[in-house]
Amino acid sequence: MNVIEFNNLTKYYGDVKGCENVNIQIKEGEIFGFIGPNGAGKSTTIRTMLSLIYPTSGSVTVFGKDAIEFGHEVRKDIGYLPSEIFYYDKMKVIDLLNYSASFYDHDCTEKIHELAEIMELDLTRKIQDLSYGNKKKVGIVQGLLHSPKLLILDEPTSGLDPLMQQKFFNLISEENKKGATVFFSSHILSEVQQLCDRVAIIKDGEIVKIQDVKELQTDNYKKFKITGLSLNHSKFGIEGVTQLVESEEEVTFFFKGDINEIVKILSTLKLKDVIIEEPTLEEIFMHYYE
Amino acid sequence: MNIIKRELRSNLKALIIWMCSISLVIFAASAEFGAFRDNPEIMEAMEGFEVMFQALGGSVTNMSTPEGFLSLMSIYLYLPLSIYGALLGSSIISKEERDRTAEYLFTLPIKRSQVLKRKIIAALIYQTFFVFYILLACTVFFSRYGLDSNFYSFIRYMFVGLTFISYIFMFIGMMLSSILKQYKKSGSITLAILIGTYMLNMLVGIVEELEFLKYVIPFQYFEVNEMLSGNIEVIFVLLSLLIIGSCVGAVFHFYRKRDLYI
Repeated sequence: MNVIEFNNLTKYYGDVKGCENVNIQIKEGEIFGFIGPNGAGKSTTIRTMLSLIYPTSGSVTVFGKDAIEFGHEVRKDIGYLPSEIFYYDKMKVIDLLNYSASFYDHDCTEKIHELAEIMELDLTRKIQDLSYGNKKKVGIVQGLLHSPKLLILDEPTSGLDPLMQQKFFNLISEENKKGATVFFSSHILSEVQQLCDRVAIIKDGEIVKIQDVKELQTDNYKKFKITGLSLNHSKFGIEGVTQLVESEEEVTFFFKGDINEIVKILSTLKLKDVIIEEPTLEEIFMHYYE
Repeated sequence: MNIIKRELRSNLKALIIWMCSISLVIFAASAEFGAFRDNPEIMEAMEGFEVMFQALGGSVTNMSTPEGFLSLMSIYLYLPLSIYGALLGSSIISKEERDRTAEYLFTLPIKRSQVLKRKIIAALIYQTFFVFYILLACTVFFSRYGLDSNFYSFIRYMFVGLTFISYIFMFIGMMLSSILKQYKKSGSITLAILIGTYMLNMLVGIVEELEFLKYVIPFQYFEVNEMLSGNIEVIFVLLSLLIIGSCVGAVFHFYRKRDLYI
């Protein structure tokens, strides 16, 4: 079953494009990454899904229901962690969490304390006295306290120290094992790589690629670094080669295609060393943003 | 229920401050009335200012009774109450976007219309309470001058007047913060409308040719002299209801359908 379906979702703010023709299907139990630089349309897409803003055209369904029309119903099972956390400043953390919990049908007290303990969050402090990172922790507890079936995380790790990040990732993985679907938006690729099954890449408001995280790394590009003597004869200008940098002693490039083609060329050269690597997600990602 | 409670709690401090300052105004007025009442010379001197009293919508004879005196200073009850309503109305809607808490509140499992309903109820509770408080304070502070049935009758009419006028400005505030892209300015724009109509109100009192303007000046709807003689014009009650109704309609229509500014 698809938990989220974006169907040709388009959002314009006046003349300014937020996102255009977004089509993504996210399956139940999946951890889905959503990658793009700042301003690519990640938050716009997410906010439409939560009916904070309304689509110009197209639609989003969550749990099989229209996310706009049945927004309040689907939000019962959604936990949302926004990229920037703003709560009522004068409230105490525990009061805010209880207030949030009062909107759900079941008792969340136990879960609140359990989560606060894991995230080392002081429940007695006022929101306005909290640091950025601590506010983020409140956000995490608030997003998870009702044991949602769908977690929407918008750049969740900013402000968290590496230790907390790890704890947070463990929490997410655990929720996922219990059956929660996760929609994880980020511009930090390593964390997406660590956590996600599939990933959509968004650029200028449009989805450029949806792929398995593993596939994205293995089946695509290889990174070549060749060292030797008098290599600069433009021999690598064949189809499938990108980001070619040639000099007499060293040649580097990315290659996608039949590996034998490259081996043929290599056999004609006098080499010192050949390194063939999996590109990092960052490098693949940069490729989409050339 | 939880939203109403939260709104009541977060707006309590402002209400208390307003109540304290208006108590002072009413207390000062009652003391002043005592001074006039016991001093016939001042009363005589005041008769020279009959024109000014007429501009204020009164008459110098009003000076001798508690209800008459209250009617003369009624604008000083209308104004603060309406300002309070305008600020309460505009901020109760716009503060979620101003403080950027809209992203939190509206991702909870609740409809926007339900949030609006609860906010309106909270605002109505405080606004109505404030009207009650003002009239209670008037009664208490003026009670030492011996109050008769005319006074209580006037207070009942004042209740109607104060309630309608302050609701009008409260709902105009709510409407503007729902409609305006510049939702942060809704408070100041509502106040500008309020002050503007107050100025016009003064002008209409002096220049008779401007009488027709009274339909757009809420302060003209419930004339104190009419109320003193036990009268309220139904047309203005209906007009008030129409304005309030349209504002409520606009709030629900526009706020539900628009993108939140996050």
